[in-house]
This record gives sequence, C-alpha cells and structure tokens, in this order.
Amino acid sequence: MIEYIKRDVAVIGAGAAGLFAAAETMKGGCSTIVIDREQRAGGILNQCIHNGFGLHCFKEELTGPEFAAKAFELARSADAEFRFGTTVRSIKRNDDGTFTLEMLSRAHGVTLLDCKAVIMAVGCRERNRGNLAVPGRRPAGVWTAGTAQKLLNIEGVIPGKSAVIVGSGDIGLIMARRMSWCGVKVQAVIEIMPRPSGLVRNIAQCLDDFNIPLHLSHQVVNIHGTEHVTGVDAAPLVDGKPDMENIKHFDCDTILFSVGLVPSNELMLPLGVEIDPNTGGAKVDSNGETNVPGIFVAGNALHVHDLVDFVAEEAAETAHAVVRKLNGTAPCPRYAANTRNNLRYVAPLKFASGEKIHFRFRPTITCEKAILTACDAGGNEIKRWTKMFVCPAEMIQIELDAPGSDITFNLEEVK
Amino acid sequence: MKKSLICISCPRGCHLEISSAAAGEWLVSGNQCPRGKQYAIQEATDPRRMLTAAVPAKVDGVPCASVRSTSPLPVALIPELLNTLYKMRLDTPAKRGDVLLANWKDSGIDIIFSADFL
Ligand SMILES: Cc1cc2nc3c(=O)[nH]c(=O)nc-3n(C[C@H](O)[C@H](O)[C@H](O)COP(=O)(O)OP(=O)(O)OC[C@H]3O[C@@H](n4cnc5c(N)ncnc54)[C@H](O)[C@@H]3O)c2cc1C
Ligand code: SF4
Repeated sequence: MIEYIKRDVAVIGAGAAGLFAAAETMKGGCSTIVIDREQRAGGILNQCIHNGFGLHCFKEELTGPEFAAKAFELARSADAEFRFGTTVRSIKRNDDGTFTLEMLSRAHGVTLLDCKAVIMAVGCRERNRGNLAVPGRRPAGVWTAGTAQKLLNIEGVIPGKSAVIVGSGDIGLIMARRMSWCGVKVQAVIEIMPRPSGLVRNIAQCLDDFNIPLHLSHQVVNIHGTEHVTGVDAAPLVDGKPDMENIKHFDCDTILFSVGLVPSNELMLPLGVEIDPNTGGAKVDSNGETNVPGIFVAGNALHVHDLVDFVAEEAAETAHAVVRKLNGTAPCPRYAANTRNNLRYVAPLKFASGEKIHFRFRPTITCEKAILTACDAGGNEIKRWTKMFVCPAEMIQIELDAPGSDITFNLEEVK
Repeated sequence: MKKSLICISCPRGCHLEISSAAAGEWLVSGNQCPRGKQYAIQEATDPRRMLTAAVPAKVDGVPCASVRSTSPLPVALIPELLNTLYKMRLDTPAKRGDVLLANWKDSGIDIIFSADFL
C-alpha cells in the first residue's frame, strides 16, 4: 500500500534549520510537513550537549538539546506537522512545477508526498579519513569527531582510553574536553595548518584546561595497528613536506578526525541543482532558492555554519521567501554578488534590489581588525563595515539595502 | 604576579593579561569589552567552568541523559562531581530543567537535566 499525501511545503530535516523554517511557513499560511529520518527533532543539536547555543535567538546560553527543545516547541505551536523515522529517498519534479517526494518509514511504508516547494534542511556531513588519503592500515578505533560525539553523548559509549585528535576544528576541540572529562587521555591534537582552525576560546577551554598539546604544521603520516589502532605518527611540515626524520609517535587506541564538514546535497543533484564549489552547497539567490524553481536550501545544507542562531535566522528568511513565492509576491533576484579578496564565499549569489538582505561570508584570513566593503558594478563603494576580529572559524553576516546593480564584496585587514 | 589568559566569554577570544595591583585590585589589559575584565578577575581568584555531561541510565534503549550545571562551577569541584555523575544509573523519568543534584557541595549550583529523560 502506498500512501499519498499533499501539502504546500515539505521541509526535509528537523534540525534547527527545518524547525525555524517550518514555524515561519506555517505562520505564512502554508501547510507544512517536516520529515526527518531520526525519531526526534533537533538534528545535530541533540548530540551537542555542551553549552553555547542560542544567545541571539533565545537570549540565553543553552545546550544543544535545550535549543532543540525550544525550536521544536516553536514549530509545534505554529501547528507544523511532523513525520519522524522517515527518510526522503528521492525528489521528482513534475511537469506542472510541483514536486513528488518518495519517503520511506516503518510506520507508513512508502509515502508519496506532493508539494509546491521543498526546503532542504538536511544538514551537512563530516569529511573523513578517506577524503584525506591518510596512509596506514584501516584498523578499528578510527572515528570522525562527530561520530564519536554521537557515540559518547547519545549511545553513552566511551570510544577508548587514550586518543589523538586529527584536525583542530571546533568539533574536535569540544570532543577533546568531553573525552578528558570521561577519563580518556587525549595525547595530542594534530593540525596540518600553521593556525588552529577552531576558535581560540575552544583552544583555551578544551585543550589548555587539560594540558593537551596542539601540534601545528604537523601531518599524520602513519596509523599503527592491525585489528585495532595502537598509535599514530605525525611529522612536522618543512616547506610544505613532512619531515620524516623528526616523526613524533603517539600511543593511542582511538583516533578522531575533525577535518571539516560539507553540506549534504545528494538529494538535489539528480534535479540538476547547481553546486557552489566554494561552499559545497547549492548556489542560491536571496530567496534561498536554487536554480531549480521551488527547491530552497537553508542551514548547514547550504553552507556550514558555526552558530545555530545564524542557521535559525537564515532558515526563517528562506521560509518567508517561500511564502511570498507561493503567493506570487516574491521579488525576482537578478543581480550578482561576487567576492574579491580574503573571502572564501558569499551566500546568496544573486539578489533582488530594494530588499534588506543578509549576506553571509567565510573569511580566509585571521586578523584583529578588517574592513569589509561592498562596491557596485561601477566600482563605487556602497557601504563599508568595520569588523573586529575576523577568522575562518567564524562566519561573517552583514545586512545591506540591496542596490540595483551587481555587487563585489572585499575584505582587507587593517594594520 | 602577571598572568596571561584567553577570555572564553565570547568567540572573539581576547588575549588578556592580569596582574594584581593593591590588595583586591587587579589590572587587566587586552580585553575588548568589560566582560573580559570580569572574566580575568574571576579566573585569577576563583576559576569556574560550565559543566555538561551524559549520565548513564539503567533503561533499555536509553543509554544516558544529558545534564548541565545551572551556572559555572568552581573548577576544583568538577572531578568529584563527574565521578558522582558517572556512578549513577538513572531510571526515573525527568523533564528538561528538573534537578538531578541540588546545591552541589554547598556551591549553590544545581545539576539539572538539559533534555527530557524517558
Ligand atoms: C559538533 C558541533 C558543535 C557545534 N557547536 C555549536 C555551538 O557551540 N554554538 C552554536 O551556536 N552552534 C554550534 N554548532 C553549529 C550548529 O549547531 C549547527 O550548524 C546547526 O544545528 C545545524 O542545523 P541544521 O538544521 O542545518 O542541520 P542538522 O541539525 O544536521 O539537521 C539536519 C536534519 O536532516 C535530517 N535528514 C538529512 N537527510 C535526510 C533525508 N534524506 N530524509 C530525512 N531526514 C533527513 C537529519 O536526520 C537531521 O536531523 C555546532 C555544530 C556541530 C556539528
Ligand atoms: S574581552 Fe569581551 S570581546 Fe574579548 S573575548 Fe572577552 S567577552 Fe569577548
């Protein structure tokens, strides 16, 4: 038996992005169903049991699960409908511009859902050792930091007794503290770049508090162990090459890779959605819409965020655009946003003039003070912002009254 | 006495220097906002951290419950607290915000559930 249902909007993913999006499309009068393969709302937030969430959104510092509960309450009180334990397997675009989602669940078997718009709030996935091509065997005991986080915080399983963390991203740093508090000896954090990729405050409270050494400009050159990990070798980089004469060896039974996140985009690719190689997520306009009309993206599925508050804001804005789109009142984004120096990307890439628009960026530089400028197509400066403390670990967000011209954003350090 | 530390009160992570002037008076530099000064003095006199943890449960299919301290806890009180938490085997349902341990070691700080349990 196949179940057929029909709603205005389908939101895929009940993480922070999906919950905030659904609350807003419901308030805008669109019937909305939120689908998540997990049994509960919250997404990645459920495994982030540390504090540091929600200062902007809820005006208090919450843990991940607390933020999730509050966001779920918002969506529920707006009467959004939820399907948990349900995986979206494919999205088909129909000739009339609507979509049919094929979803699978234990409770309903196969469900075909017809809708006018889809908000992709499917989050991101972790890069793993395969993506890095680390030499050595493939013994047990090698995890991504996020998998280890889930293991510890949700399954209640401590992955080992002594660990080395590869990559100094914030997830890895937070896991260093978490494991130290669980009695795991964290031997070292190894980072290939000359600077940590996570925030300094996390170096302070997650490494320094526990005397965990951070080896910058070091590369993992071997993983030891046949059945299970027994150790790892790291070599300092000299002129970009590992110096094999000065290898450091660490005994450990666990290795965590914390080497970055990439937006999930598998479901969208067959539809012909264009991907921005700089974010790994879809290219979107200021409505949050992709090149396939009716497919919208928000949250970590669009670009990897460090603050859940920005995820929430972005998702709510996209939801407002979806409502306007379905009412036929959405503006038509036709001007291009470009980046020049020191910015890895900008989202959105296209915008409508006359609207107040949030642009979001990742800087490639670390400095105490920087100036961000927006110039029109003629090279005239439209606006500038002084940014105190800029680093790649922190997204930059600005608001601009969008002009009727293409814009180029540029970031320069102020010495 | 001069000490360098990193402010953890916001993502900027200012590098602070603190030294004692007169009794009970402190000189703090490097902070870009007043919270940094407050943090440095706190860190020099009575360092505290927020504590979050997963407490083991004794229930099929629910391995643990997530908890947190109601405010930052004196660092010296953390190890024993963790030992106490990890020895527990929870089996009674609790709501987010319910108190698991009240007034830990007379600190005035409670350990509460940060998510519904069961
Ligand atoms: C380890 C870690 C620490 C962080 N720390 C902080 C912090 O201290 N402070 C802060 O503000 N932010 C922090 N963040 C960032 C922030 O929490 C996240 O960016 C945000 O929660 C992401 O929300 P999301 O909804 O985009 O994605 P997710 O939460 O990943 O949600 C995606 C959901 O989609 C579902 N899904 C995916 N594919 C399908 C499918 N095909 N069918 C059905 N369902 C599907 C998934 O099950 C999941 O529930 C942290 C992030 C991580 C990973
Ligand atoms: S001093 Fe102020 S600006 Fe600097 S890290 Fe602390 S709270 Fe942030």
